Amino acid sequence: MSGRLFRLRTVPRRVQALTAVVLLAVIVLFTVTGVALWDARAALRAIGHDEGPMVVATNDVYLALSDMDAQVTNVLLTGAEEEWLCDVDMDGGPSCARSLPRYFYDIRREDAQRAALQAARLAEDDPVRLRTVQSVLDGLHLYDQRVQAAMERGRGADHAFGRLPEDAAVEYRAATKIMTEDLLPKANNLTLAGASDVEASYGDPLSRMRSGRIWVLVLGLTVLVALAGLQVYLARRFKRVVSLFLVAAALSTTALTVAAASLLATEADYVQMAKEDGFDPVLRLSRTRATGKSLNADRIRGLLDPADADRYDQTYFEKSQTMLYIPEARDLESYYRMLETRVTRYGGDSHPVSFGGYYGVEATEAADRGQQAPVDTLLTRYRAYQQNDRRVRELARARRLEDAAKAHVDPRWPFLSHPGFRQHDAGLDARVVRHQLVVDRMVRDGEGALAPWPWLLPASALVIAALVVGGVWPRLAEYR
Amino acid sequence: MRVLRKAMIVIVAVLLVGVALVAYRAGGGEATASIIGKKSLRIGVKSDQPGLGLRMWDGTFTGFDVDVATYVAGRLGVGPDDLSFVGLTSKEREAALDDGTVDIVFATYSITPERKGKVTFGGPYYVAHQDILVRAGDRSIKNVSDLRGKRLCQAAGSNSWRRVTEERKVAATLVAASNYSECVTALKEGRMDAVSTDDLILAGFAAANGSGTTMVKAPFTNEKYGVGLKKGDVEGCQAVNRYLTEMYQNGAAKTLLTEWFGSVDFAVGASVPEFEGCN
Repeated sequence: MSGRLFRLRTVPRRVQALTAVVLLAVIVLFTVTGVALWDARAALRAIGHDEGPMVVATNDVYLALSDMDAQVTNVLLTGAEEEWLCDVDMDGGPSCARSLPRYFYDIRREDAQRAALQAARLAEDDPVRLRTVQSVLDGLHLYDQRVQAAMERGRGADHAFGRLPEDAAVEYRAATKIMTEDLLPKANNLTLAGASDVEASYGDPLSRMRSGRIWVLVLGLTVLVALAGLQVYLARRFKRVVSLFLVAAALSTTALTVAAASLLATEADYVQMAKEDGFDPVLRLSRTRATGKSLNADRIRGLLDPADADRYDQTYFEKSQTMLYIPEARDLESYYRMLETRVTRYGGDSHPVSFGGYYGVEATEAADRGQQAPVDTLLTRYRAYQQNDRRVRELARARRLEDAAKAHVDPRWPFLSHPGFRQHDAGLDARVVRHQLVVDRMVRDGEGALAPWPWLLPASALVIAALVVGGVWPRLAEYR
Repeated sequence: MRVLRKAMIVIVAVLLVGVALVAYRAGGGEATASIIGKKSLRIGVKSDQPGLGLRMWDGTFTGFDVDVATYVAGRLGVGPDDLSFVGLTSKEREAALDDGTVDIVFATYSITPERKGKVTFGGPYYVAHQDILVRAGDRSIKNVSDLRGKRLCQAAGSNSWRRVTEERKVAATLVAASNYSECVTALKEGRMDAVSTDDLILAGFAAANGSGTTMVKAPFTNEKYGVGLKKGDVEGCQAVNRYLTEMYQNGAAKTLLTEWFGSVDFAVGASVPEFEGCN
């Protein structure tokens, strides 16, 4: 049956069959190229527009929540509840001035909500994650209530840099529990889940794009071979040396194959750069920032609520180890000491990286690229922050809680964190912005290079097909 | 005939394009050993901790860890009949994962930076806190510093006592015992004053032993109980995290915690813990 179907006894049948083979090869070439370019587009979109920004948004939830918590803790520590509670919407105008920390708290609360909504919008097809976002928003209300209660109970007593009244401390502990055991973990988990989405929508397409280039070249070659076959057959059978149409088709195919293959190679580079020099450091440094904020909050919580100080000390140490891991450090005392020597050593000429954690990765990558200076600055600031922490701790251990609390905040503006912390935080933020620029630029360039292809690819496929048909048509017409 | 031939040509063309696409899409994504897609799972659990992982007389295992493991395995598509539990001691856990004796470990496995170098951790599925168990009615111990001069149990193979005498430098008198059951018996008989380890472990003992002992409820550490996976199983880790989130959302975690530790009066965490991350 099929033998009879495909018996190619007559010349026009053979020409038709050869043409069909050529056209088929063209279709396969362009379909695979299209899919490979589609992969590139999807990977760029994931990093630049979809999952990537969502991960950053969820991390913003974490940062905003940490900032809110820091304001609350600071106000309770400095005994400034009165100004916090000042109601500016009161009838007849307020008789008091609402404090800056309260304004900052409200602003960051809005930031947290907005970032959570963005995360929700991008996670709309994932019920588990949506429920997490929802419960963060719900928990925020509970947190507000506890904070309000703590402020109201703390306002009566004069406790600036001293011990918080017990009834206020109870509310504060409840608020802290909501923040550290419910809201922050969920924000953190959302970020992690988003990050693994980015990994998933990046790794496979990237390696496919890399192999896709070979595919395109091989398929392009197949088209050329098929074209050559057709050309040779026509030349022998019809005594025509060259068909200009077929030559044009071959030239177009060659041009397109080379262009597509090199485009795929550049796109793969864009995607890889956007991920490894952009998104990855953005995420890592943002998480370092988040950890740094909660680290700072742990220190101040230990001062405000000495009954739980043991646990805060341990989490402080663990978070320090997450940021910059020193395997040999057994407790904070040895950590401070080893940090000193290792950071100094990294600042030296050979830049040996003798630590792990977020900073370890950052330092290693910087050393690989030969750009140690910015990381060195960050590390120096981190060390300065830890040095101040050591001083706070020593004061606290000597039972000079008031001095310890004062050493923890800015000497001039007690509602601000210590300059050491702020510098460290700002330094991290600046690096995040810099790497985010890499993401934006790579995604923009990558998408720019892809922009003409949605019409260029089908159009050139049609042109090549038309050229092939145009080359064969007059010969077939001779048999009509 | 002509129509048939044209149809055949179209079919062949579509097939060819399809085959090329499938071949192209199959590229990329190197396969790593993962718990995803396994038909059966061997799960490492503790065999001597009431409430968490305890081997019964008939060789079966019971406890919170066992139930959480069963839940997660179920969500991974492995039913209870295809699970086999393996009792592990603290020291055996890394090697058992590494050589494939077990696929996954739920055995009060605290996530630490050192261990993260050798094991990929899902979770934590619970954050326990080190606490102190005393005889009911003993009011002299209210927090960890009150252990100064008291007789504190030093269970073999456990590091909990270090947190007291080394990390916090509280000068308690250590009294050796072979395991925590022995500690609790000695505590009830008055040969010791305090037993200090993770609250879930203590809660299990306090519940199992009736009213003879009580928990001080002054937690002083965080112990993150992780799900141990073979190093590099990122995909498995992400799935585990997802199912753990779900377990807390749908109330299964709370049910299990109440079931195993509800009779002891201490605050169990009912919210999903902060995950470590899979990389």
